[in-house]
Amino acid sequence: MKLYFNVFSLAVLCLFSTCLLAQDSTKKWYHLSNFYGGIESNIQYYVDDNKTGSIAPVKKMASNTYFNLNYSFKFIEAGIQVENYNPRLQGYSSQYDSITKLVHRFVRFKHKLAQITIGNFYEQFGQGYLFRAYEERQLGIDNIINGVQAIITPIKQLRVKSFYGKQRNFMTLSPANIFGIDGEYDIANLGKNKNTLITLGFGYIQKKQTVDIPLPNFPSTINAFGARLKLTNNRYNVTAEYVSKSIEPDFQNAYIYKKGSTFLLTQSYTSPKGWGANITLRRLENMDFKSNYSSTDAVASLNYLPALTKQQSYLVANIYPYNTQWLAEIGDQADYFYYFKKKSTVGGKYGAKLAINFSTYYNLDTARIGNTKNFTSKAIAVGKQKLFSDINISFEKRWTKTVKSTLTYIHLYYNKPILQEGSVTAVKADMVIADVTFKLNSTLSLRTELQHLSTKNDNKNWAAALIELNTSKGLSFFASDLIDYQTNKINYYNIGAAFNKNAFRILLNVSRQRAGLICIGGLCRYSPSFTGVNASISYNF
Amino acid sequence: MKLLFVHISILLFSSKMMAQSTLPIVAIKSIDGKEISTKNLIDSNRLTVISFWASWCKPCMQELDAISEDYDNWVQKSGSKVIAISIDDSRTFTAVKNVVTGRGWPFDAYIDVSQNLKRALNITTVPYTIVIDKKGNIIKKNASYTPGSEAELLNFLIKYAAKK
Repeated sequence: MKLYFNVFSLAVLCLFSTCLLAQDSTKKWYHLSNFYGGIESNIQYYVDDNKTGSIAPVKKMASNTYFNLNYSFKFIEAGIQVENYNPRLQGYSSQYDSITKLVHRFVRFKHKLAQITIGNFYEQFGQGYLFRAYEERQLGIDNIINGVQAIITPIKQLRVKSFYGKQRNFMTLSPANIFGIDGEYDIANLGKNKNTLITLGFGYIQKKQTVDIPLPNFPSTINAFGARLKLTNNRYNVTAEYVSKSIEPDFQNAYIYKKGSTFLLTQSYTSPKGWGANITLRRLENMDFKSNYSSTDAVASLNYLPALTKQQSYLVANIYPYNTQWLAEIGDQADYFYYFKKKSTVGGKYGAKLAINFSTYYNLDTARIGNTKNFTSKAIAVGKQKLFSDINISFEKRWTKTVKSTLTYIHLYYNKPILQEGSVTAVKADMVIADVTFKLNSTLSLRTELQHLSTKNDNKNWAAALIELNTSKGLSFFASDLIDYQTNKINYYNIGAAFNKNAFRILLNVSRQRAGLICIGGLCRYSPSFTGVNASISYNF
Repeated sequence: MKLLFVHISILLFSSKMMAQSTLPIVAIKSIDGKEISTKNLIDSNRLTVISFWASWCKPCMQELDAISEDYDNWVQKSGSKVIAISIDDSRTFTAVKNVVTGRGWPFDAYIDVSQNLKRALNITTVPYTIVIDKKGNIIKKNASYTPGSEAELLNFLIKYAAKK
């Protein structure tokens, strides 16, 4: 397989480099511009680290590499993706180990009214609570479907999507057969300028699985339905979505015989006076939905259950990330934005921006059924256990032509005993972050961050600093350090350089990685602590 | 591993000889929720810069803020226009419209909710910027942003427009 990969990719590169240099004005089927794709490789060299106790694996160098090549000509598209884990990076499932494999291949026929895909495809129904097939390489998730898909748009107001197939599970396929159909119809276009659109949508997923577990009445067919209503205009948006799933015992929910449901209500308003606000309410109950009922991890999920909290980018703000509690969770998130205009008292010469984000999540008000892990719950009531809350206030202002700053304050409540196993106390923390950018001249800029997290719980206080020198030619140098200075006193450093030119990007760094949850879009994977040298390379063509 | 580096080197070499690819035609949404085809983004009168961003991406904000602050000059000198396409998924896309308004960006803004365009262009991380010509050919790609590189991009647009 490895040989196949190498021969194949070199042949493709040869084709690009030498075979098709002539550029006709009339595009032919074999023309170079019909091909596109990319390569991404993350390579890590591990070393032993006495300070953290992390031990390098026997094979000290590991890499995850993704290569894809696509073709598009008139109404036909086709593509492949090859992945190589040699072996897989620390923190990724061992099911990826030392494998090179052609993981995606597809052919698609596109027409104005219809599109048919044979092979692999991604898809999403509604906001993904019913069904979402997607790829998130940093989490090791790729739950693409392998089968047949049809998308039909018979009239402009109606869009219908349907598919049948199996879902990817690491380097193989899950055993269940999945069927899905989703329709969305614009039922009204109101208002003077027809700028208020009302859309109604329905979706259905059926999972048929072979049952090989000795439990009574174990369902071989799982049905899930979704309905949604959207109203959008240029100022106000509201979306309501409800998803219901039939009884589905699986490994993740401890094989309880219980239906699942999601309710979501989102509203947003944008004022012509430079401010905007949105609020989301969500209730989840037993909504883990996997194509393999015995799956022990987040891979091969049929639906997407993001954490509706602020997505953090600063080091100290990522120490306690919230991960969705799909078994029983109710909560809300609100955002508020305000733009202080130029020449106003606060805005000054260049204007300023204020952003406030708030979220809070509780468990459901539940009651156990007998001595089982199964439970009943009240539809609207909030449970007694607070899972998470935070408030984020950030103020961004340019002071002069060369100095710009962002000040952030975060207050956090994190129920660590529930959100991360093995902890005994909840964490209440306050964070202050100063992020200042100095433009040194027309080609050089310097960015600095000072961060502090104060808490009396867990590993107590943390501090972090970052310095980053950027050139306009795409070269950056950076150094950062994060330390729990009252307890373990371990410096989690990260020093390196990055360079990008056009569609090529390379990053080299030496780092000590903290053990903990790595979360993207609210989905998390646990990564052990490791120390070493990292190289990341990506190139698109 | 060695072979991997060989592949990358050849790729870089081959990129010098590569022909232009075109903007993939897929459905995206306006920030008011209306579905449109990406073929409507092609402007037959001028170059179009398409910046892919997300509401949680700091360098994306830096890039679009930097262009926004100098946008009048940008349009006047290069004759081009800028479009911002968010790749926010269902976790964060409700914030997109308010971020665009709250930051005072003067660009047309869209959301690639299903990430079909992102996938078709093989974009793995944002910020990612492409420039398309009057026929929809992709004439430049930038896989990242460093402060000041917007000036390099503006120079490219001015020179390209002058050549044609």
